[in-house]
Amino acid sequence: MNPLVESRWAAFGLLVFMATAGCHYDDTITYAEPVWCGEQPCFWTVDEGTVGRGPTWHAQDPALELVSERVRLSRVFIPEGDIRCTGISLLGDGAHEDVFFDIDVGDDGTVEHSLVVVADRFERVVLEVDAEAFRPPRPVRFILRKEGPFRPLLADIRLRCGPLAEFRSDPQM
Amino acid sequence: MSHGLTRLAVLVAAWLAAGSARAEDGPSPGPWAVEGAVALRAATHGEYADRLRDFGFSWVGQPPVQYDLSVVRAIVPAVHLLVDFGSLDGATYSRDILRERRTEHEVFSWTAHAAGAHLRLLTRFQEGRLGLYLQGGVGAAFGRTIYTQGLGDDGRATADTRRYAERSWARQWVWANGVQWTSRHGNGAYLEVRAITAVLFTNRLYDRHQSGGVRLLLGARWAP
Repeated sequence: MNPLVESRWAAFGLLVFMATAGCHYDDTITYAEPVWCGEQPCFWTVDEGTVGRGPTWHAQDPALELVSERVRLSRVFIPEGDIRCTGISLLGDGAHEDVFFDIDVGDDGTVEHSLVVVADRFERVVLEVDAEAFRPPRPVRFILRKEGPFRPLLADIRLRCGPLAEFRSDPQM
Repeated sequence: MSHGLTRLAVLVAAWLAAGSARAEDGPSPGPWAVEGAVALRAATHGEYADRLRDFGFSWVGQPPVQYDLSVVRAIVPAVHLLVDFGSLDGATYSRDILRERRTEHEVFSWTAHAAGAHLRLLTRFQEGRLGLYLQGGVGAAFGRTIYTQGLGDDGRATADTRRYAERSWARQWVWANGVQWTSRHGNGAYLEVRAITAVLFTNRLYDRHQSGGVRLLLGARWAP
């Protein structure tokens, strides 16, 4: 599916989710997505390298294993109304400063923000930047990238989204 | 070590002698009895449940009480053999995920039961109506986990619902202390504190779940 079209659906899904799950617009929310959809990672496009299924708590909820030495996955968001997705949170295992979360505001090929992912034993890390970075509304590309020989596992990847006007951070989510 | 065993043997012998002597003065019910109890235990904690929470699951509930059934055979008045069966453990966790433009509900739950043979050492007071006992046993615990994906956001099954069940078993150890009151005919009630060890479930990250733990049993006894 075209990533732009997919992102519109993702934003639509987010709105539906917030409306149906009882979430409040005055909170930053996170919502979980499946990591795998069949043989492909859900929502994320593999731009470079090889990914595989890695072990987690259950065989039917596999992690994303960054297999090859260089791996790059990305997804694009088109802002819908006041809603912005400012980052992700994920569970990481074996990510030792060789995994990066990049944000390309405007989706013009220039990475404005690059955050290092350091997580082991499936601890949760929150990776996001200030919501003001997403004003005015523009497409945003999120990139997960690895450069190194290790094979880290990423699981329970959650988008962190909310209304720009009332954004607040909640590192517990 | 040998001193400890000797001391234990002397204690058991004294217990049996005291129990037999008192039992002779009390009621003399038949050798068979059936016991049934409800068991109360605390909510589940530990690394296994913590991992579920890490992955976005929330605790939904667990059976409010467990049950326990035993067939009791008095070998001598102070020594009883029990064949025991009961529910051991259960819990349900759930989470919501967004898949292809819709919210899906996922449920992970487990149930566990156990069966075993116990030996009870009983001593009686108050003309044999009141009894205190120590009990130990070994047996097998067996259970299964069910991971259900693709439920609707109302929790109902859909065409995309997928269900993954896994069975497991483990050895269980039981240690209990109790007090029982019995009528002349051997009917009565009992209150027991039971400690059980049964590590039945282990996830793919080697987090283990203790299905046993300490529980309080409140039961009734019937001697035909």
